[in-house]
Amino acid sequence: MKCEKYQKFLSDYNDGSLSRKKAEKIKKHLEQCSECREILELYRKLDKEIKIVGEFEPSSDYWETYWLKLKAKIENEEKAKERLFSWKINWKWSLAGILASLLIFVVIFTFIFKKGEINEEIYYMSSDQTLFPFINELEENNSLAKYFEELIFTEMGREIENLSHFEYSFDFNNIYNLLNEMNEEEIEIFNSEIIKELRNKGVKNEIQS
Amino acid sequence: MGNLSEDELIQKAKEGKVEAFGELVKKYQRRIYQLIYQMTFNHEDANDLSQETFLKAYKSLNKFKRESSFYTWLYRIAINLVINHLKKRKNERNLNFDIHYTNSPQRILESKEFSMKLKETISMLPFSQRIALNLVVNHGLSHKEVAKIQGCSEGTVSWRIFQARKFLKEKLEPYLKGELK
Repeated sequence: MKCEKYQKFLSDYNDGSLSRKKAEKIKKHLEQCSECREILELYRKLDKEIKIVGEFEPSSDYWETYWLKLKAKIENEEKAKERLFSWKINWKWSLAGILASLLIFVVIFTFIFKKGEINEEIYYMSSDQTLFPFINELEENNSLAKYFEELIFTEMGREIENLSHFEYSFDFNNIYNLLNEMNEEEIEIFNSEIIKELRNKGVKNEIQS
Repeated sequence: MGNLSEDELIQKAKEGKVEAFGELVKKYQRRIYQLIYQMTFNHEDANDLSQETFLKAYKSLNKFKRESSFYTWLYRIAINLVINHLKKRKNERNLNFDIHYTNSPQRILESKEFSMKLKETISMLPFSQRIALNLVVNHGLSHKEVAKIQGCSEGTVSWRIFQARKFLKEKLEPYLKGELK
């Protein structure tokens, strides 16, 4: 083997990663080749210098607080995860609210349509001004959303099931008349009254005003 | 927690016991910190990226299937983070080495310029060569262990280390021979 070929194995020889047989061969060659010995010596010097520039030990204070800082980050991440999960729930309830409002709108619309009186003003008021602030409130308040969801899917759900042929009255006449007569300010008061009512009924202790 | 084996600690950590994970962190924090410092030569980077490594490990614990050892898995996470970080830094052309000199009695060359030159030259190596050389020289890992971490054959690791040493020797020979300080 020529010197050049031995040199390719000097790095592996230095790391002890050669087979015993190959390592023996290199060792023998090194005994008689000063050029290869010099290269091996340079590799060893390099390794020592690489270790020196890579040595850095932060203070003991640093290690004492290392885990505490990391633990705080882990806990923050977990809290963020919980918040995201809670947002997902809120989103679910909001969607339920929107669907419920659409359903109510369909009922009102059908009721009006049946009467042959399509009133665009009522459509606008009942879908946007009346329901959306309420849905926004639901998005912000998980406890309220939960209560409302129960209300929609338990009490009203049963009633809605009975709404075959949309003959169910449920005071729609009253709501219709009421909305028709209300101005924007009154609708706002109406919304806040509904929310107040729900708060008083179901989730008094959980809602933070 | 102190008496539990590594496997038991991993299991407890998987079940959400943060303190069990804390024991694992305490066991490996220095090694991971050093690994990153030796790649970046910057304390801030080593601090941020080592914390990120453990944070990522904690979040991905369920993906750890014990096909490799825990430290191999941790090393892999750390190395991926360092590579991404160094790629960004390379794009920013912003090499920010800590100026730190050891008082080690084994020090061969005292030159401050040499320390800087060595860090710069190491930083010029391709990532794969830099990682392989670091793991063998500074962490005492075998070529076989490095191959597992880098996901390649032992032959590839040997070749990477040989290329790295050859490059460093060419660039630094005058310093190493004491011709320059």
